[in-house]
Parts: sequence; C-alpha cells; structure tokens
Amino acid sequence: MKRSKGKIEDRVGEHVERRLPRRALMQGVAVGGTAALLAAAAAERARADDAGPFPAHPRWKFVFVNHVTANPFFVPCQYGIQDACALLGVDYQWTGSETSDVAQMVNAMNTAIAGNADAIAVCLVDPKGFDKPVETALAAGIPVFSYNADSKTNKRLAYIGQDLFLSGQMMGERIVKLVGSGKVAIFIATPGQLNLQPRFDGAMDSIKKSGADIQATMIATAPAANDSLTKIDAYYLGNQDVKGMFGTGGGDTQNCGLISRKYNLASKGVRAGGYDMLPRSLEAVHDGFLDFVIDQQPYLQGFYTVMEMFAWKVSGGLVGPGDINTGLKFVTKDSVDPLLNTKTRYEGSAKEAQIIPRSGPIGG
Amino acid sequence: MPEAIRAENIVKSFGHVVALNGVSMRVARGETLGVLGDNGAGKSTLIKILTGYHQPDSGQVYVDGRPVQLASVDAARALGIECVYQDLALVNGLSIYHNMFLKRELLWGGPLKLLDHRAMRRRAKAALEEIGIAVASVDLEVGQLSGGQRQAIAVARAVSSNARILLLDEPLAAMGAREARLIIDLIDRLRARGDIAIVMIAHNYAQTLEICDRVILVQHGEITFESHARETSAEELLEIVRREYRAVRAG
Amino acid sequence: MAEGAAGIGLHRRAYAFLLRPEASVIVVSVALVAYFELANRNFLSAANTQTLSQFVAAPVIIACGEIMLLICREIDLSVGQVFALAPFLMENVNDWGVPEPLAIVAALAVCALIGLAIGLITIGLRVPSFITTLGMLFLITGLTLTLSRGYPANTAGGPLLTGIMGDWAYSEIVWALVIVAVMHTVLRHTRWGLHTIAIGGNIVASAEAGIAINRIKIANFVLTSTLGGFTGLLEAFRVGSIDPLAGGSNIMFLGVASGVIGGTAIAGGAGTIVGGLVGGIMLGVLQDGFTLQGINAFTFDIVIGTAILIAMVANIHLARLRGGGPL
Repeated sequence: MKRSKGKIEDRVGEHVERRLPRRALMQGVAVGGTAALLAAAAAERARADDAGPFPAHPRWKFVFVNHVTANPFFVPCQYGIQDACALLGVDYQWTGSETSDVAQMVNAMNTAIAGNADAIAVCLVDPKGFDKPVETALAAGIPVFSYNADSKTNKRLAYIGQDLFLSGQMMGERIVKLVGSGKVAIFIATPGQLNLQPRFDGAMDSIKKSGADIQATMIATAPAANDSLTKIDAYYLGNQDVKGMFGTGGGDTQNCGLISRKYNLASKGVRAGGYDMLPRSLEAVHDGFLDFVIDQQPYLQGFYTVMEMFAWKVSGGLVGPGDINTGLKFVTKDSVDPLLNTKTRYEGSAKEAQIIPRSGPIGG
Repeated sequence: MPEAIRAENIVKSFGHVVALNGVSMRVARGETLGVLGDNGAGKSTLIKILTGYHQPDSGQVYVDGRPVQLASVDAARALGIECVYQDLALVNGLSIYHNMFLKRELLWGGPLKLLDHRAMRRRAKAALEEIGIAVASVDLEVGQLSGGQRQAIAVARAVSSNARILLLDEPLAAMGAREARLIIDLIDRLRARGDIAIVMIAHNYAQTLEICDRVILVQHGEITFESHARETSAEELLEIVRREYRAVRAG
Repeated sequence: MAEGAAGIGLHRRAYAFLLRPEASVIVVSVALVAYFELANRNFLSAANTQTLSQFVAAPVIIACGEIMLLICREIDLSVGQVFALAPFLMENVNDWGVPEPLAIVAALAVCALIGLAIGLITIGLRVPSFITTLGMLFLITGLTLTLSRGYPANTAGGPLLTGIMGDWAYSEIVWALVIVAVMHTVLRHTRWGLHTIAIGGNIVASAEAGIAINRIKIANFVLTSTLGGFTGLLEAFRVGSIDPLAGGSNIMFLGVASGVIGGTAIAGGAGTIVGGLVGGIMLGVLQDGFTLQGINAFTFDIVIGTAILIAMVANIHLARLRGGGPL
C-alpha cells in the first residue's frame, strides 16, 4: 500500500522538539504572518541545515479532516498542503467523509487523536458536532484548526478560510446591483452546513438591508454536482420568470452556468453567479453566462493551515495562532482570461509545480 | 382389524380440471395400502386431502369410524395423520433432531420459551433407535446424509409424532436397491407394530405388491381396481393400464 | 447450523471450532490487530480502543437485523435511511412537548411500522424485498429531507439520557454487545431463530411443516428497521447533532458486509450473529487501523476494498474445506 511521504515510525514515541530562542519569537511575529516568522528565523540563524532554517524536527503528522474528500474543489487545497509540507519537512493525512457525514468525520478525528497526531485541521461543517472531539484533542495537547468552514462556538484555535458570512453579504450586494427586482433563487447543496449556510444568510442579509424588491428563496440541491444539475434544470423549467440564479458552492455555481448556457438565459436577462472556480464556471464567466464567481483560494486554505500548524509546533504554542482570511475575490468577465488560459497547480487543474509569469499593472 | 381411515365419494376440482371424481378408499390399523397410478391420475390430490392440505369439494372422510373435517394440516395432525412428502420436507442446513422436532419443538424457561436442545436430542435419539434407524449422531446436518437415511429420518419424524395414520408419497422414488431395502425394512417394522395404518403412493408395481397388504389403482381421478396384494400380480395391473393407453391412442 | 457436538475430545473440539465460519474471521482480525499494533504503538491504547469501539458498534447493530433477513432470503436496503429518519422523528415529537424518553419510544415505534410496511408489501404484494426496500430507500430519504427541511438539528435531553443513548464513549459498544447477545440467543435458542433458518433453508418444507412463514419474515423486517432507527439515535446522540445526510447506503452496506464477512451466506439458509460481531470488528479494525496509519482518503478505499475481498475469499475457501457448508 502507498504510504504518505516519510516514515511514520519516526514519529512514534520519542519527539525531539527543540525550541526556538525566545529572541527570535519576539521579533515581531504578526498573527497570521507566518511568512514573517520564516523570514525572521532565516535571518536570525543562517544555519545551513537540510531541514531549512529550522532545527531538526520530527516529521510531524498533520491530519486534515474533510467533509467531501473527493470533491474537486479541494484538489488545489491538497496541493497547497503538499507544497507546504514539502517545504517544511512534515507529513499530512487527508481523511474524513466523502458524503458530508459528520459521524464519519468525528470518527476520523477521534482516530487522529488516539494516534497522537501532531495537529488536526477540520472543516467545521456542523455547529455542534465537533465540539467534543475538538475539546478532547485540545485536552490531549493536540492543536486544532478549522479550515474552509467555521463554527464560532467551537474551541478551535484558529480558522483559515473565507469569511463566509461576509462573502455572502458581498454576493447579496452584487445580486441587488445585477437583478434590481424580481424573483431570485439561491441554491445550496447541504442546507444548514456551516461551509455554505452562512453565505446564504449573508446574501439574504444584504438583500433585505438594501430594501430592494427581490423575492429570494433558498433551493436545496444535492452534495453531488450531477444531481444538483438536474435539480437546477428542473427548477428553471418550473420557474421561468426567475430573474437570477445563484449558487453558494462550486457545484451549484457551475450548474447555474450550465443551465444559463443551455437555455440562453443571459440574453433573456437572467443573471447568474456564485462561488469557486471550477473550469466550467470560468468558461461560463468568459462566455457571459455567469456574471461572477467568488474565489476563496482553496490552495491557500491548505497552505496557510499547514503554516499555522507548523508555527504552533515549532514555537511550542507560543506563536499565534490567528484567523486567516484567505480572501474573497470577485472574478468577472474582465478578469477571467488569465485564469482560463492557465492550468496550474494552484488552481488544482494541473499537477506540476510552476511559476506563472505575469506582467503589467495589477488591476482592481 | 379396526378401520383407521376411510374416504367416501371424494370429489375435488381445480378450476376446470377434475382431479378426483368420487373416490372411496379405506385402510385398517396395522394395514398397508399401496396407491398406484400414473402421473396426473389423482394420487397426490387424494393424499393431500387426507393430510388436510386440501379440502374436498364433496365427500366425507372418517377417522376411526367418526366423520371428521380435515380443515388444515394441523387439524389432521391432531388426529394422528402424518404425511411424508416426496421432497421429504427436510431442511438440509438443520440437524437431524431439529428437523425431527420442526414446529413441535420442546421448550423450557417458562415465558422465555427457549429451545430445549438437550431434551430434543435425547428424544430424537430414542425415536430413531425405537424404529431401528442407525445414525452416527443426531447433530449431523440432514444435508450430509444419504438419500435413504434422509427418507428414514422423515419417516421417523412422522412416527415419533404419534402418527396413527402414516401417508408416504413415493417413498422409494429415485432410490437404489440397497437404500430402498432400508426403507422397506422400516415399513415392515412399523407394520409389525400393528397400531399404525400406512398409505403409500408408489410407481413400482412389483415393489408395492411386495410391501403392501392391499393396492388400489387410480386412473383419471377414479379408482378402477382394488385388490389384496396376494390376489393380483404386476402383470394384471400392467394389463389394466395398457388397456387404457390403447383406448386413449384409439381416440 | 449444527450445534457443536457434545462429548467430543478437546482437540477435536478445537478443530471443530476452527472450521466454524466465525473462526476464520476471528483469526484474520487477531492478525490485523497484531499488525496494526506493531505498525503503530497507539493502536491498542485506551483512546484508540474507544475510537475503535465507535467504528464497530453501529454496523454491528445493523448487522444483527440484516443477518436475520439474509438467513430467510430477504434483505433491507433502506435501513440506512431509517437510521437517518429516526432522530428527526424523535426531535419532532420532542418539539411537540413530549419528554425525550417517550419521544425516543415514539420514533422507534414509527421505525417498527416502517418495517411492518416493508414486510406487508413484500409478502402481501409478492414483491422481492430487494425491490421493496429499494423503493423505501428513496421514499424514506424524501421523508427525512421533508421532515428536517434539509437542516441538521440538535439533540436534546439530560446527561443521563444522552449518556445512555450514545453520548458516553462506551455506551454504543455496550448496546451493541447486549443486542448481539440477545439476537444470538434468539437465533440459536428460540423458535423465531430456528424457523428463520428453516424458511431460508427450505421454504416448501417449512410451509409443509406448518411454520408461520409470513409472520416470521415480517417480524424480521420489523426488527431490522427498529434496530436501524435505534442505531441512528445512538449515533446522533454520540455526535450531538442530527444530520439528514447521516447513515444512508454506506451504513447499510457496512452492516451487510459485517454479516457476510462473519459467515452469513448471502444466499440464505444459514447465518451467525456472533459472526456479524466479529465481521464488524474486522471492518472496524481495518478502517481505524488504516486511518491511524495515515492512509489518505483516496488510497483508503482501495485498501479497504482489497482487505474485504481477501477476507471473503479466505472465508469461502475455509467453508469449502468444511465440506459444502453454507456459502
């Protein structure tokens, strides 16, 4: 069977953990500024060491518990994790559920705790379901971070991902600007789950606050993209007076684009948009069938989480951790071209590591 | 010998098909009756009526001289009528003693009603010994026994349930000479007891005449011939049947 | 299934034990435990044993019902959906003001009714149970989504109740062991179990013997749906959250797989509850062990699938050695 990189046996039993001198720590490490930590450490000790600027450390094992382990959205996330792990000389495990099954994810977390994982990251898709495992992990001295989805009541040390409610609010504002008035459908694959619901709530919040004459309804689709496509198709056929169709997740957004293309909805004045940069969605933006997609930088969700975990381990918990907002970027017809024309590891569409060249001024 | 079971003018149809058209027969205690006839003649239907599996459209069955309604298999069983079907009604995956006590299991534990394996084993062993059947262990799965042994177990089950009227549907079908010997000896022992009436459906005229006291011949739902075994022969029976074939072929 | 013969010498008894279907699975499980413990010292730690027990409990309880159905040549594909429905039923009834213990009973009663409906349709309308429960699978999924409006919900109840019903770390495995003990007794020491085996082995013979075939089959359907609902309640209390996406076909397959790996024939006529427990343990050991090893999600499925195939092949070959036994 294939093992993840490195020998796990090294980690078992004895941990050789040497702490950085306090002076290095005090050199202004900003919360979430892990890059600053690396720079400071590198500047402070120009030690040629094959472990990089850090003293020798065991190949720590960082366990990532995910709710849709096979979902393409998380492929760039996994690349981000892999790159960060390679950079820092640590190992990761990608586990969880394929079907957003909270019990399965809890089992995976408990196994990671029993296996003395060095750090755990979990998508907190359920408001309460992870409270107990997180507390157990913390009590056992294992740092826990949340990524991609968050629960405010959970005791996790930090959240790395998009501010979901805020992104929803911004989408809501854009919906008001695009649609003006009329019937709007907002699709959600798994209602109530914390990776999607706050976006919908944020959008409804903005729409309501704007006072516009918009009747927005939440339509539940399905976690699997194929099933959600059929549902959105059926919805449109039954509601052909709809003025806007928007998705709260990658699959639904892609499918709104496909339905818009199928029935030529853009020319009929029906607006559409949503989240994440699946290839079909980007094409739809380019061809005018989606007005926008919102990027939440899945690569960074993986990359920065590993950085936070490493910083925590290396500093014995003295550094950080802090929430990292991986950003919210509207991609529209004007800005979609470079994304379409490149297939990169950072978007998840290619496996090879590359440096993507760019030139020219950086637009807004 | 006192009469055990008697049927008078039994009529039974299934849809348009008249299976039995006024059939009468009787068997006495300690007597063995052979029921012969071709497939489709009505032999199985007659047996199924005697065991309570089917109910006649008209006619009356008498047990020990008293008229009875055999409304179900359980009702027939309650009167001591037991049948061993051609398929033996044995469950291969269960042990000998489980099969022997199927639906008449011995229980213990009051309201818990747990199976009393020990008691059932003991009684099964005793029952088999009583009628002279030898098996290595009553725990053996019935599926592991030979054809003759399985037939013997099926008969033993019927006998150990206090059968007073034992109906056997083709007990010697598909059996080699040696296995058949086992069953023939068993039937002889049962006959010798003198208290059981045995009705046996069969195909093999010579064998039947050897085993049974009397025989009847069923053709087209009617009894066309009846005799004591000693007073007839296989040739005579064959001739009757041949006559029928010729008549059919002549149209 | 024949009972072990009394009065045979110890060494022959050991040989007889090894030929039982459960034995091969026990041997494989012990080997796996040894392997995982050697590969990762944490495997037999207290914390992991707890986690392992949580992997094992739910499929084993489901298996107890499915094994009874498999033995009499039926199956319930919808048990995973009843698993998801039951906690929502409880929550709804609770919302009407009914105290939690009664709400639990009410939810289980509805699950039993679902089992009854499955039984009546299968037997009364002569539809193969595969088809009946396939239809039920979709129907109940829809019921769950409608009842829950697609939203997860919170479990309610005082600490004693939630503790007994799954919140305490070991409560699920205790329930599983109790249910296994009861169902083992039912299968081996009551007429219900014996007649179930008879029906699966030779339905014509069972009818001729006068066994109440319909009643037994319906009882097994009711049992399976109720156990499915009960397992769903336990898992909901364990996680602390009621999720419309919980359970599903996955838990149903794990339950059936536990039973089959443990020695219950897919074709019917023979089965073992204890085998279901051992099969469930083996599956749990595999899942927990490989996760502990750090196997990633994608490779995980390949590994589990291969392991199941190997276990089944070993089982079948040992069954043949036993001489044309079940399977």
